[in-house]
Amino acid sequence: MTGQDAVNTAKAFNDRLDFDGVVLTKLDGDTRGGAALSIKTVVNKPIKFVGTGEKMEAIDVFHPTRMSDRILGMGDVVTLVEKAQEQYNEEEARKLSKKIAQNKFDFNDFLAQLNQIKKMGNIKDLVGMIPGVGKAMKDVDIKDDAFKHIEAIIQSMTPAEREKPELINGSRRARIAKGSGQSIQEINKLMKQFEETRKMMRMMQDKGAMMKMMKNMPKMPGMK
Amino acid sequence: MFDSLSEKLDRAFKVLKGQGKITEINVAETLKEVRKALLDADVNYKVAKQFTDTVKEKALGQQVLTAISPSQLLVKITHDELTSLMGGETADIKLDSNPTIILMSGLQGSGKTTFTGKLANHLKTKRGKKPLLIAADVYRPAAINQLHVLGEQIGVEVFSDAESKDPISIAKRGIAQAKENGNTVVIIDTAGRLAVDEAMMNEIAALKKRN
Ligand SMILES: Nc1nc2c(ncn2[C@@H]2O[C@H](COP(=O)(O)OP(=O)(O)O)[C@@H](O)[C@H]2O)c(=O)[nH]1
Ligand SMILES: [Mg+2]
Repeated sequence: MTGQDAVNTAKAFNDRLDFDGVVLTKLDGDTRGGAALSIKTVVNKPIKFVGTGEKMEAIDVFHPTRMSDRILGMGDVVTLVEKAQEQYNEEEARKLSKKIAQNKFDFNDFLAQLNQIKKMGNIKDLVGMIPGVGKAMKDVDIKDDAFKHIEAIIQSMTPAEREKPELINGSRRARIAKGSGQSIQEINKLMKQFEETRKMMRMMQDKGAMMKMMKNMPKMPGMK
Repeated sequence: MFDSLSEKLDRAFKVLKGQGKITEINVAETLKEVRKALLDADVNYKVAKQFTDTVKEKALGQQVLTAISPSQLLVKITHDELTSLMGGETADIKLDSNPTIILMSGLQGSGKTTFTGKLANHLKTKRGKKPLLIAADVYRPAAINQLHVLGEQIGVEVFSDAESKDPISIAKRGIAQAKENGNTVVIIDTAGRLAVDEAMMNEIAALKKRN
């Protein structure tokens, strides 16, 4: 359905029912956005929600300002942060931070984090909300199953390997490659990424290091 | 979702890159591209025309501060006008009645049943509401089942009566149950219909009036 059809339909329904608000569904599809921009003027009723997928979580409150931000490539950091907060669980976060401190962040945690990101919604939409990045990434084909091969690799590890990634030597890597249907290079890449993630997480958590960085920063107004 | 529109607007503003100031000519040139971008995005013709006229007026009427470039100024004005075009303020859903009754209406396949589930889930998890869903699509037996599946998935109760062919009666009984059980929101899922279908539009108008 074209944007014009959608607007005309909304108008016809409103003429008869005098409804309170509009929901724009299937905004994840090949919609060109015209309906979102015309409905208010033509029908004089507000858009209240948008639907962005088939899942029960694929609903967003419609915020005109944030939508303009996105249309003009300014990103939508507010929505991004809100989505992240929705998935944030205090208890889990505390457990995780303890594991990181003890250098025990393992592949089970890695997988759990991936799942959190997936729950935040359509990956391409998420990337589009990061200012500046949306534009740069527009031609990159980000599929919703972008993490699939990573999941396959982790799922081919034994429980012991997931908990102690140090165990994963050359012969184990070969076995995992076979089990997950991925090349050995992919396994090596993931192992390297994992190591880096681990390192970075510890660094970020190391408060001492953070404080040192802060000290070297020029004084900011209002900071003691 | 607005990829193509974003890209075209971006290109339109490039016309102004490197220009020292806003003139009738460079604004007109830019806005011609903006209008094209809007029309390509399937924006209503009158809306697009009105939009660029407003932006033009504001751009030419503005004292250009040396701190911002013409393209930045035009992006800013366009941003504000796009926002107001989409309604300006966020229009929050009204939830003050108890129970609040929400009636879904629209074409077949537009996503009413799916959205009924999504909205219930949203109101339950984010707004602390206790919704009841009412299956008032009496024309397709599968529709009732679809709503039950969604209800189960999100942990929300569904009222239905496969025996009845009367949406108004179903809705009435559903709402009575909601009041009894202390549900704070009722969402009525209805059959899809065309605005030109007189009988079906009468039905939903009556549903709205009687509840
Ligand atoms: N991609 C996408 N599909 C949707 C969305 N909302 C609904 N659908 C799909 O559209 C189809 C029709 O939806 P349904 O809720 O049954 O429409 P109804 O006839 O109006 O009740 C189903 O396959 C839904 O999964 C959405 O926001 N995005
Ligand atoms: Mg339906």
